[in-house]
Amino acid sequence: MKKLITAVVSLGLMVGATSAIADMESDRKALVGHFKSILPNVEFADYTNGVYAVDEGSREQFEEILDGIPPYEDAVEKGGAEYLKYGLNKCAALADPAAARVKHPYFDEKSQQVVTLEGEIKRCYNEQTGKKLGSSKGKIARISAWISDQAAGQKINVIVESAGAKAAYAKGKATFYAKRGQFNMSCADCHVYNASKKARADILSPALGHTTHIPMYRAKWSGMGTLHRRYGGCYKNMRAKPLKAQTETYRNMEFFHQAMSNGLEITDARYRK
Amino acid sequence: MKKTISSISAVAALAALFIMPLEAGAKEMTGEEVTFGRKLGNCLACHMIPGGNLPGNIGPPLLAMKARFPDKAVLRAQIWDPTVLNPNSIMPPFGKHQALTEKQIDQITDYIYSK
Ligand code: HEC
Ligand code: HEC
Repeated sequence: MKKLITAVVSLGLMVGATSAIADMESDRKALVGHFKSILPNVEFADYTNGVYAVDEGSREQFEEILDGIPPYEDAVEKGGAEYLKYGLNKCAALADPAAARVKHPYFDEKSQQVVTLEGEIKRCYNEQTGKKLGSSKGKIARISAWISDQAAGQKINVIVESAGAKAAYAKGKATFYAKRGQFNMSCADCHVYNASKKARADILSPALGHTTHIPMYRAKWSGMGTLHRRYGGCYKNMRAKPLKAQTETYRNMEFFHQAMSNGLEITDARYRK
Repeated sequence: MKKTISSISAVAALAALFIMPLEAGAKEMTGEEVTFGRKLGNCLACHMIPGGNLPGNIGPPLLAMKARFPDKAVLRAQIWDPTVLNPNSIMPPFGKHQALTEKQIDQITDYIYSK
């Protein structure tokens, strides 16, 4: 218990120290260290499995689902057909899907913005068809899932180097650790300090590995959703008003959030309760 | 003038129709219902409380409250705003952020105090 308290306190200090210069690699190491101390039996690589890495009971169910015909299988296949149908292979940024998944999100020096994979899919779709594509579910989630599947087994590798990238990263980190909403909670309250604990029947997943399997199929959604769809749901958990998917605040948070999973494998096991 | 009066009373009657059932409903809520209700206290999300099903384990079990809180006002203050004691608390400031009414906080305090 005392160990846990010190770990929480030192993380708190780390958060308090979010000054102009954020050092991603030392943040990441501190986060990995935090999880090692509160969850000593979880292997680093297993964090790709989210809540199933910390809960034996639901893991069995998860493995049964993966062994059968997972409910996302058809959707991901359809996403592959849609990728070709709408000519997304013609955009330079998406022509090599595996490379695209590994490259995004990245900080674009020209626009001084974080570019996400879904942002790029939306832009390309519009360029090819003249139409707009949604950001949260359905077509974009299917296409993004298929693109990500092509990189399964490769590792998340977000790069934060330039001054602009560091500033975007620092903003994203601040969003993740900030208290908000009527419930005055932060993302870290649930997914860092209380990860693996139970909130009624829900077990809280560790932030480490959060972005390795998304877009995912969620039983609660009866369908696929993107990372920013999940952000919206968790804003509601805090009784805060969700922001629009792909807004700058969410893109910066994704930049931080994915970077924390650097070194973990991208997985095609896209199921969550 | 008479017309105004009758329309005012009509409005009052209509308002009563809408307000009365709400108040009646609120009166029927027991302390336990306010404490356990998912859209109300939902204290079970984080605390084991004797008599409640499927509790979470983010916060400490709420047991023997009289022994732990000889002064009931201190217990109420913890529910009203836990950030006074722990600025980084994950527990919602139910009173300060008006997630619950003052009356509901009284009901929860009484209910928890009986545990
Ligand atoms: C009140 C608790 C709570 C807060 C605060 C919260 N979440 Fe969650 N979150 C959950 C629960 C419960 C789930 C579903 C179970 C799980 O995977 O953790 C979840 C799931 C997630 C997932 C999916 C994990 C997976 O493996 O599929 C992501 C990503 C996520 N949350 C991000 C966030 C972010 C970002 C914030 C802050 C904006 C946040 N959460 C705030 C409770 C919370
Ligand atoms: C999201 C989690 C969460 C919810 C919901 C929650 N609490 Fe808490 N509560 C905590 C935590 C964590 C603590 C430990 C102290 C701290 O960190 O503030 C705590 C502490 C307490 C304490 C002090 C216990 C002690 O022995 O010192 C009381 C009393 C309490 N909570 C009552 C309630 C009541 C009543 C409700 C519902 C109206 C509630 N809590 C809802 C998380 C929660």
